[in-house]
Amino acid sequence: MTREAYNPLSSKFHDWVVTVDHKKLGVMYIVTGILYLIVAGSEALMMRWQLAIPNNDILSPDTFNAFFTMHGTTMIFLVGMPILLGAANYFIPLMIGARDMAFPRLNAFGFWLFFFGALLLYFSFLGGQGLSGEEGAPNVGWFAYAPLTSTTFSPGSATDYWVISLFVAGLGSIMTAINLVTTILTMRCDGMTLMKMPLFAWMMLVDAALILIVLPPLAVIQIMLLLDRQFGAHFFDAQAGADPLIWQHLFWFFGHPEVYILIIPGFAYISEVIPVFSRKVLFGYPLMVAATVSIGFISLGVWAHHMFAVGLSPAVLAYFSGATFLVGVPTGMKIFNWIATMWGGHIRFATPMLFATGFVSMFVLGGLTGIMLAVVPMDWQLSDTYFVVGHFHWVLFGGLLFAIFSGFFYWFPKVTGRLLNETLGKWQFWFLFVGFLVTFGPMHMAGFEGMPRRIYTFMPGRGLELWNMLSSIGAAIQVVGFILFVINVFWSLRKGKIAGDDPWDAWTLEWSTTSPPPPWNFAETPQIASRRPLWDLKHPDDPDWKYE
Amino acid sequence: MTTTKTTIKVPKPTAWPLVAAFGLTLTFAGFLTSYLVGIIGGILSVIGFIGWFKDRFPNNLEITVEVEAHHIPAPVHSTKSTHEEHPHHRAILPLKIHRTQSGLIGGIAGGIAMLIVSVIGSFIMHGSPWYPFNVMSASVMHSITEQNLTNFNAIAFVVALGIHATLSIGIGLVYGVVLPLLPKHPIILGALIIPFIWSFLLYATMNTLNPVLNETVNWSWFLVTQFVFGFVAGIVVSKSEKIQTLQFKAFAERAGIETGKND
Amino acid sequence: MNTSTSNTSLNMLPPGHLGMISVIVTEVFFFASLIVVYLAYLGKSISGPMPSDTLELGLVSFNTIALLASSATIVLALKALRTGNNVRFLTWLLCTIALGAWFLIGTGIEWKGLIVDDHLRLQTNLFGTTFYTLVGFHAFHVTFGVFALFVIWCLGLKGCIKQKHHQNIEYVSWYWHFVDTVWIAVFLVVYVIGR
Ligand code: HEM
Ligand SMILES: [Cu+2]
Repeated sequence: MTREAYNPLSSKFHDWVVTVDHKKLGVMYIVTGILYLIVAGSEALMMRWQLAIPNNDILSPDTFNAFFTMHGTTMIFLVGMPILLGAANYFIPLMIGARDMAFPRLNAFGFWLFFFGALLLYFSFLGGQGLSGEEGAPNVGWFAYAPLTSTTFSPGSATDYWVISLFVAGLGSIMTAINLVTTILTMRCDGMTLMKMPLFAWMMLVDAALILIVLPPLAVIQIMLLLDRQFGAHFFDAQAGADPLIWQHLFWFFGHPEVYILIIPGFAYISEVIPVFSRKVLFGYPLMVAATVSIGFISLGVWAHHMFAVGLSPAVLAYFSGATFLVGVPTGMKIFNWIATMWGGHIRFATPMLFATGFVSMFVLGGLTGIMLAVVPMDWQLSDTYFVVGHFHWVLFGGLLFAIFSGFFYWFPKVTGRLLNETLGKWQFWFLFVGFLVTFGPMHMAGFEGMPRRIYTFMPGRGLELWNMLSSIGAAIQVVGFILFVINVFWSLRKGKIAGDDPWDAWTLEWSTTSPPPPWNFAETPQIASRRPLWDLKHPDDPDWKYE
Repeated sequence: MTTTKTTIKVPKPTAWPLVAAFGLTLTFAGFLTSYLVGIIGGILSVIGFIGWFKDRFPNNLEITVEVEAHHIPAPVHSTKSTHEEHPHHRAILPLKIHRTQSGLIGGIAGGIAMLIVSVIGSFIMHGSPWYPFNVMSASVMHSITEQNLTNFNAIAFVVALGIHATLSIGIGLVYGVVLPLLPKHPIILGALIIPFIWSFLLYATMNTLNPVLNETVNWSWFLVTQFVFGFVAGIVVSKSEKIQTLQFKAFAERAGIETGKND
Repeated sequence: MNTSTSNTSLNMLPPGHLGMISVIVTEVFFFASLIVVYLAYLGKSISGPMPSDTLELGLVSFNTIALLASSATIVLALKALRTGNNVRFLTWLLCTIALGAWFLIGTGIEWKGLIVDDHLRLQTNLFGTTFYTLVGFHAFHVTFGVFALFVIWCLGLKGCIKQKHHQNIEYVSWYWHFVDTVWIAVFLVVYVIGR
């Protein structure tokens, strides 16, 4: 590594481009994800500016449509997915005591597919101008319902950009998922039975399995849509007898598990952070494993709760409503386990733990609004209103994003060798937390008042002004939080406190090697006897394996 | 710190997967731009895949790296941990709860206290002891109307008593588990916080759920009676003895299939 | 690093197994989605031609037999490779490739008939749309398989394939069996149920 320091920039660049090392690929995934986070965040900010007051004209209706489509698509496919795949890439081999992923080259292939797919999506701003000269970027919403996506309603090639870029990126996700499943199941170090894996590994195993199962259906409908648009097929053409609802069914068969694909890694980060910062063993490890697996299964059978308003038969409604309630059970078990882990512990409220507790509390509320939406009559009232927007931002921002920040502050020292600044981190947390509440809380109220989602403006005098103004103010507060984060990262990379191998006094294998880890991860491949090998190492007199 | 030098083999860095991915992306982008882009993409991806294949066949291209042995973190005694306090139990919830019986008795006591206070209040405000019974049963019985709220109605009386007893006992049982959550001030939790939360929820939703019934309820008086329940049930429950949860017992024991060693 | 006193050695499968199983799981859901759509649109075409007017069992049964037989020949090829009998390996492999090619050519002939005589194209109606997509994606997988087997055969001729490679070739054979199994499903759906 000292040798690298003298290399000119171009050769460093070369090192990264040709790398097959899981850590470098992991970092590239995460950095790309954060860049797109900033892009998609800016799009959201523009939308909040437009919606701050009634009858505003900052954005034209067409631009607004493109922005909410790109915002949603980017956040899910180009921010959530790469960050979670990147973190898994970086830490799974370290946590299970392996030197690399099972298929290093496939790993690189998966990353570059994602990378170029993402570029292609954003190239649409320039290249999407079809023959008809329509707006450039896709503007059909992140779920691109048929028949809005037919060439009649969406001329130009913007929609094709949406299809193709996500198809390519999705192919990349599948490659990485194959790699993760294989790595976790076949590369564990000596002594690491399945029930001795860190929960992180368990959760990513379930996550990768879900990716393998639900991304192909997405690919299939994307191919069908492409055939419709480019080759005159009739998959979603009601005039030829087709049923556009097929799109919705298959999309949500992908889409609902997708939201779990996004949140399960959040669970994973939290499950590593909470025990370490509570100085207690994770409560109910076997139950956590069971709950994760059952969440995976149940999430495959609830998709039509996104379609309550399309006119399903009562029996179907009843089934999907009931099945959706069922998800609450394993999810609740996890929440209780996290609380029980904290209970009676010596909690250290460092930034990772702040975000982790923020996650737990906000995720509960988001889950509850989800349960409200799972009640069919309630959903008929609230579907496609801002209430739904409030719900999913509660779980994705208050849930996933907080968990990502928790993990980021926790593992940053391992990846870079330096700690992030705690003071800035805490300010960031409070700005984000308050900004989050102020932005997304009022959305529920606007939804109750009947404000539809995806409208570029609204009329005065309908009881919506206050809520929208508040949401926009909240967004401004969040901006401060994000700026603090960026400053913190750049400052800490140069001046941050040197971390040492194990700054948090943690227990999993990644903390047993240097920070940053050498290319070979471990000088000797580890051998473990309990779920917390570093505890055993630090306390030879009182090892954990005696109790498991 | 040991200075043994060992070597390991890792896959040689390669750009072929990148080329293949780029080619594949271009191939698909051909649909969007022109077939030329597609063709170039196709060629690139074929080149990429061939290059990749040659990395793997006939031999897996690898480079040898020298591993510098890393000192293993010295066995330190870590910062405070709950292990010292509960050496024998690694994954625990350090929490004692009340016996089931205490919850039961607390619920009954609170229920009786609330009953007495409500009946007295009804006498004073409506000149009849039956008002609260009728209002309560009105939530399930349609024959009760606003006019006959002060009359005695035997069915309503029994129904109301049944509902009241069920709710009181149910909440009493919950108190047995929940009150230890605020170990220093169980009474505040039981007498004020919890009754306030459910009263508020009821108050907030009643107008939508049953507007007619809502009219007949005097909410501030309602709150007082709830506090009375919470206070009595809270005191009874929290004064009772606390016991270990079953978390240290084996599953068979918890399920009552086996009886464990006496401890 | 060693934190244990007792050493539990784990018996884990080779990575290739899990990798290939994962690929197949993904592919199963890919084809399952296509088949679901095919079934959902059965009989929904507004205008003809309909499956009953166009699809015939004759040719496709031959194709099916060829493809099923190829699953047997590839097993024999693998067996030969494991015992180090290179000539037999290459012969059986060639048989497999030939049977795969037969299937593809047969499909081509069938499609030509459909397009030219029955005027059934992708654009004609829902039946055409779903039929060509489902059968086409399967044929695409067969093509890929034949191509892979052909590359292996060429390398084998040059003497590059050794006994030690049998594991990798076995993975290819898993793929081949999978493609075969999918065909059974497609055949049942399209030619038996769907007609
Ligand atoms: C107990 C847990 C949950 C339940 C019961 C639930 C239920 C629902 C329901 C019924 C809808 C449909 C609302 C409608 O469109 O009318 C919905 C939408 C949504 N949920 Fe959840 N949800 C839960 C957790 C989550 C989680 C954990 C996430 C993500 C991390 C999530 C993300 C979303 C998203 C993104 C949408 C909106 C999709 C769209 O229409 O664009 N939900 N949820
Ligand atoms: Cu959902």
